[in-house]
Amino acid sequence: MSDGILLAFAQVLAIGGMGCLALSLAAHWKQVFGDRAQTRGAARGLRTAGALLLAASFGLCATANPVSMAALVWPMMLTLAAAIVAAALTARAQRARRG
Amino acid sequence: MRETFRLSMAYMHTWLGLVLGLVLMVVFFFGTLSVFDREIDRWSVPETRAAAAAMPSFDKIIRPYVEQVQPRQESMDYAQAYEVIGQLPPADRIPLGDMSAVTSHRDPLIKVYGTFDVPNAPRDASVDHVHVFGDLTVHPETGERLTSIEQQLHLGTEFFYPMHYMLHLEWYDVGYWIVGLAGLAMLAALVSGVVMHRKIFREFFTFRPDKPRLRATLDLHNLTGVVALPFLFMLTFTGLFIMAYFYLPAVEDLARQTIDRQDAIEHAESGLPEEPAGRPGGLASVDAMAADAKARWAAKGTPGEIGYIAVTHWGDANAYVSIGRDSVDRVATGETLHYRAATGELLYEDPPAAPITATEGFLHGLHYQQFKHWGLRWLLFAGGLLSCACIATGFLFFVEKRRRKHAAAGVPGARIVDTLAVAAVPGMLIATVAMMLANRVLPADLAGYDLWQERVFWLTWLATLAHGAVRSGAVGAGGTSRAWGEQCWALALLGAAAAVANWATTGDHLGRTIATGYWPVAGVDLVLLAGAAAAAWAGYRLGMHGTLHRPRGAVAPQAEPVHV
Repeated sequence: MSDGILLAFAQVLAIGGMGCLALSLAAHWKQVFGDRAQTRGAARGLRTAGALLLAASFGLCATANPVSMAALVWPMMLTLAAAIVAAALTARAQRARRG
Repeated sequence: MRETFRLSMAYMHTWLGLVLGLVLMVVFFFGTLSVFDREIDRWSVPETRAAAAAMPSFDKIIRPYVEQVQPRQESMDYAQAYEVIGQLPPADRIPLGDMSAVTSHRDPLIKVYGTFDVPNAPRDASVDHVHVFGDLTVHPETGERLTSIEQQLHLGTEFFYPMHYMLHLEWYDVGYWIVGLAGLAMLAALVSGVVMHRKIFREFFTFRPDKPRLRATLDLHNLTGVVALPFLFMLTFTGLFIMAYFYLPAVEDLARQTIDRQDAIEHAESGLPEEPAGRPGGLASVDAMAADAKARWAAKGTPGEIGYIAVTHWGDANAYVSIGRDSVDRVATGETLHYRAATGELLYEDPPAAPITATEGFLHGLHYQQFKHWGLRWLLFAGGLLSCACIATGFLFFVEKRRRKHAAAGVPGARIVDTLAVAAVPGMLIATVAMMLANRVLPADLAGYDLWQERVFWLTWLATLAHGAVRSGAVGAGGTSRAWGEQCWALALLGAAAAVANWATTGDHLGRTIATGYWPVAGVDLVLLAGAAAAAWAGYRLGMHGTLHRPRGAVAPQAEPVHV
């Protein structure tokens, strides 16, 4: 597979991972799932899934590029992913309020 | 005790940010532009719009030009004014010491640099020799010298990039010192920002634009600061690290003898002559050495193109040729091979970097970003923009917090800071885009073409400050300055005009540059247009809710976030 596609997947995994981590937080869970209560197991599961997805994202970065390069690409991908997740949550909350 | 610590950190964060925030805004914004400095060069000097090319034949194309390189007048003036005793000889009488030819995967040009040995005694007794410098530019394919663009201002590498690290304040290097101080303040602001943030994990992803404006501004400041924290920290740290020898020269000055001895030992071990022999010597085929270097890189499993060729002690019996790889695939700069100039035999191969050198190389490479990785380049650009957003919202939070209180007390504080923030955010963008527009619409044969572009930049920036001050009356009354919306619209118009002017003066419209895949110019145009669209949207929203602080559906006033 070409390096570009691997890196695109890595970015997608990073967004997924950050999304899971966001949903493991009570406030964002409520934004997305409304009144459905967040069980402790769900929170833990989301945290684990988030961490695994982020780790997998690093794996793809390190496959596509030398590790020294991945050490730079991956944190920047996490930054972008976190910003995207935050923007998506904000947009969702705004839509819900206007809804 | 814990709260006192948090409060004292908050106090420091607020006032460091206020005093040096303007400088930080400039440093981070122009640093962000410098990620694409070569591409901006292509846009601003249309004669250089060509595909990047590999290093051409040294023997046929570069060698004939080496004798043509002459010290630049600025370099002569600087040496005369600050460095040497007595009158310098005329420029064409100063002998060439070292030369190098440089290109990269982003450059369609070959730069040929010369370092000249000044015969005068240096004023500083601890300096061995004084040098003056010159360069010329060669087209890699036709091999012709591009005299007309050598003296022309390249906006990316020669204006925006130096703005990033020295603010174009050359007087006593004061610009470097201000930037260094701001960098140090930034590190302190990052640490204190983390300490004072109460819910760094719980509110990691939180931005609530519908909350009162004070809360929404702080949300955005926290969000951008936290998600970009690795970027902010590493880039600030490596920036200071790169300049450490400038800010703390004592290490080099005090250890001068040790360093000299170390140099001598290293030269003895590597067999590379430190000093010229004083006898003339020949130069064998450099192309043959280049072919040998490429073969050796390929044999090691790191095939690559040549990034630079340097000849030390030009024309001397002790001359040697160094050939460096264009390190496109790694963060740190790569390995170099050295050949005896007269015979072309391999003298020395740089050993694999020891851990300390490798770390230093990584930290430098991380900041200089010479690698070939367009995805990473865009990610770093995005990181830079997030950092700018963090600094700008810091300013806005300061104003927002004090707006009503200062208005009630009749104190001008919030109004002054708001004016500065207007100049630092939309004002700086307007000045930058106005300069790019001037670059396209002023005739290139105008006397002082470069100077006029710089004047447009500084005068426009000054004008945005004045406009910000004049239109800030509403802040004095506890409202929002009209300058924000008006400057957003000005920016939108200028950004679109710059892209159109590029089309009108060069014929390179987006349809053509995208169709032919000429991304350096297409990218600059697209960013200009995207910026213009964002500015228009911001201007529209600011006009629509002239007093954005009345949120929909908000009822009881919220408790104000506790910060100083």
